[in-house]
Amino acid sequence: MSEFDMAVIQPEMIKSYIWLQTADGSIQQVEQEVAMFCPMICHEIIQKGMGSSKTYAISLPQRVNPCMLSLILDYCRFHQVTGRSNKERKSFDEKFIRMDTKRLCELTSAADSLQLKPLVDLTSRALARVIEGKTPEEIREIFHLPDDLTEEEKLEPLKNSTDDPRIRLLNRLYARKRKELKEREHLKEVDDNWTCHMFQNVETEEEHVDDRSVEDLLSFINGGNGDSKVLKTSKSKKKNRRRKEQQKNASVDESIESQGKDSNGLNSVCNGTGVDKLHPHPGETSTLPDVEDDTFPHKVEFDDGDIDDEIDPALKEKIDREVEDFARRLNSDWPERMQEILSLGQEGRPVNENGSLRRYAST
Amino acid sequence: MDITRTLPEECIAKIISGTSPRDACRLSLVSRAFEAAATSNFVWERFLPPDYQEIISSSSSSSASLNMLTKKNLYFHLCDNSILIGNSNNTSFQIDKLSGKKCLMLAARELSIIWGAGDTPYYWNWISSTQSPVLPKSRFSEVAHLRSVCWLEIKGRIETKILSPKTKYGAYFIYSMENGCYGFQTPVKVSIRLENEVEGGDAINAYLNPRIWSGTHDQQQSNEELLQINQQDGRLPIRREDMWMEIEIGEFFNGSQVDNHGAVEMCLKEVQVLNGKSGLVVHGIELRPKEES
Repeated sequence: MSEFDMAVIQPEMIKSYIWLQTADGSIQQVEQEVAMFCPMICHEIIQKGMGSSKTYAISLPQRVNPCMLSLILDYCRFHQVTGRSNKERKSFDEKFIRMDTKRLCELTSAADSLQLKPLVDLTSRALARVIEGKTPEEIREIFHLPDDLTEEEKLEPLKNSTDDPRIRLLNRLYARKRKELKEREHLKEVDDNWTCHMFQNVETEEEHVDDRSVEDLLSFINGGNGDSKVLKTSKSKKKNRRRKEQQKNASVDESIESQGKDSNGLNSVCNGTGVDKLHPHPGETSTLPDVEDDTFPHKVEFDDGDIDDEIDPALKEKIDREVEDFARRLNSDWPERMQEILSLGQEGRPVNENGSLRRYAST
Repeated sequence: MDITRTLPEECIAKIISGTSPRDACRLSLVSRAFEAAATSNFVWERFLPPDYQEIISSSSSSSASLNMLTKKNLYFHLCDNSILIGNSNNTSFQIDKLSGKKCLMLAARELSIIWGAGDTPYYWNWISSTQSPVLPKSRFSEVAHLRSVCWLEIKGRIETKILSPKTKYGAYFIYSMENGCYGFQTPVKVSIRLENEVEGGDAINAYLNPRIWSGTHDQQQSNEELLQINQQDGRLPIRREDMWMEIEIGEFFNGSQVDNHGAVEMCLKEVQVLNGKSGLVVHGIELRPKEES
């Protein structure tokens, strides 16, 4: 080649390309400088010498599909240029991130597998904005997540490090709820179909339980005529209990007493109806100041984990009433609210900005 | 599409660490995968102050057992319990639950109290917190007790770099009043000032002992009067859960750590009327994040 010929070849026109292959088998060519922005690809090129031809295309991780790859390459193409100002980069990022949540997740995943940290940070922050302030139910909906925590796990009592009487009462409430759940577990063995249907959405079950439906279910368990005698006695017992319940304004004493008396699973059903009474009245708003205004004059000294049987019934009744009172004051979506409230106790400190006086003045 | 199948737990943890402590608690109820991510040390370490490790090790109180806690438990422990730091353990450290920012309290010994140096016990004397059964429990070893003084002046100073950056802080005077105290019908003046700023430091009236506390019979009248005072004239105290009284001295915004090497000065004084005063017990001055109103 003469010198003349050499001069014609302009260096800017020579760009090296890298071959990338996604999990679905499709192969594409990408400018090397753009692809090198991804640490994982960079590693493959430099350490392993891959990507220089179609046959030696770099296999990308499975989490990177062609759609995500093109997004990632757009990102790299912009940011690998050195001359840009911070303002420009920020502006690009803000526009880049505008996509639906599903894509954001896929993009996070893909960027993570390529070890492209700046992009992972960017998408993570965007997803954090999506998540914050939402209830668990909303989040499950957005991300199509299974509700796979058991009721028991959701009710995990929180550590009571500050000896707060409210937390103690709540832990008792939890303990009782757990116990009731266990009783329900027995029922499940009887007949899976209808128990699942009946107890699936405990939190949203309405307070009012149809007398008849419970009786229907009882007869279903007992299989018609064979045990009608047993059925009748348990029915009447239940009716008496119901009357008592109404008088006592839905105290849960019966369910606990009956626990002691009957060992079979039948009465667990009645306990189930008692549980509904524990629900807070819909429409009652609870704000933390309400909770804090409760006076708890009696400091009851016993372990949180204790089940109520060993305690003097009069005291038990008092405690139960306090517990229910407390439960009623809370919002309907209570396991979650409970977690929140217990985790976070009082909102901040007990300061009222306008200097108004607190109730403790009388001490 | 279930994202917990597309995203590894570390990514979910990363996303959650960009929310808030409250969100993280809520998120642990979403699903099993979220629970694992939301309770992970990675997330809660991000919520703790960046220099928490340093602070805990410099404290004399049981740092070994604190280090054994999971980060989430450590977070909540520090929210509910203060640990003593600083020379002579005269500063206490805690975390604000909602934001994870630092709360610091200066003990009375850490403040400068005019006539309170200790060599003039006729004016102020120092009580060990265990000695006085009447007073609320103190987290510090001593509290300052006012026996009799006309010139009341208490000052506190703290370097802004030990507080959390980019946070609005409120400063609160923590105290108690003995039975038989007098001289506090007249308000004291409270002010706060950032050392390296020219402006600020305007004094506001603060009523340490409004009439309602003395248990007079005309309670109703006192209430109305109090409301009037509140709207026009000055600040009123409130009783805290730990049974001490607190009254706001002022607020300030702690900017980023780079450009703010200064300190905050807080002042409480009554040096105009100069009436005789007695019975004030000083616990300290607390600084904690204040929510944007």
